[in-house]
Amino acid sequence: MRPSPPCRRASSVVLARPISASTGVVERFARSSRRCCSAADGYRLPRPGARTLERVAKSSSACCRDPLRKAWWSSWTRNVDVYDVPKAVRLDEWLRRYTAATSRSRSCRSTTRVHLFHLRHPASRSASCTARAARCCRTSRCTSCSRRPARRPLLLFLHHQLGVWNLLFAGLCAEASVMLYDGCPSRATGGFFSIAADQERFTHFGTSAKYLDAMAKRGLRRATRTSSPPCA
Amino acid sequence: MILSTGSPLAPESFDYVYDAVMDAVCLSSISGHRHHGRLATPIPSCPVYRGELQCRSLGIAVRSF
Repeated sequence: MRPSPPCRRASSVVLARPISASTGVVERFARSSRRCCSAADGYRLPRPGARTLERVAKSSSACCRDPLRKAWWSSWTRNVDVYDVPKAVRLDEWLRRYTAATSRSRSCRSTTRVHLFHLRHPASRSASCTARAARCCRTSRCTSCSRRPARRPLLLFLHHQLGVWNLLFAGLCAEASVMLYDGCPSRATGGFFSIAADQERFTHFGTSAKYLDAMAKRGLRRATRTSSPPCA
Repeated sequence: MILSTGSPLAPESFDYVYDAVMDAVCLSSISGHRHHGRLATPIPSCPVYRGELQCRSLGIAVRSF
């Protein structure tokens, strides 16, 4: 048995359903002083030099007045063609929709800007949930803009599961550095933890049992060990 | 906090994480579904038992058999 960690941030976490409760979660997130939102993704486009998150960073820089807070991606990922996923929304299409929506609400100058980027969803239900949640974000922004003068850009990189949405929002509300990682644990320079854990100092890391098993079988060890949790 | 899902984390994997990755971390083996919600949830204030899911979610009648 392991004792519980001595250090935990005093915060409350809201586990939100993306449709019914996203408005309140975004309100709560707007009041928090979060650290960063990092996303690492295993997908990239089949063309050379067209990795997905690079495109996200480039597109967001073009449509946002403020730069992204943080975008982190791995370079040793699998070469997966995401264009063959049915019933999905291409990133370009999603950005076009969002940019159009932003143009329509440009009169609300003192608003909290929440940028949603949706890569591709394998299920239409998930995609519709994300779209409705995005509308909730816009509604929340417009109805309460007079109380929130600050502009806080945010990059939300949503993966293909609803649970990630909950994890991401809950983690951000708790002022955590959330990293979503989907990749091979053993490629390149000896493992994920030695590269990203100390650099980003993330506080929550979600993975699978198979991922940890694969790390154990390959004998990967963290390069820099520390006796304190990352939130200390 | 490290969260592991997909299947209950093997006891050897608990040993590996606390030995090779980080010794002062809450390693929580959780369970759930994107549509059903969390069945076994991470709780930082509760102890972690080797080879076991950490905690049942509040408000959900969860039983293992």
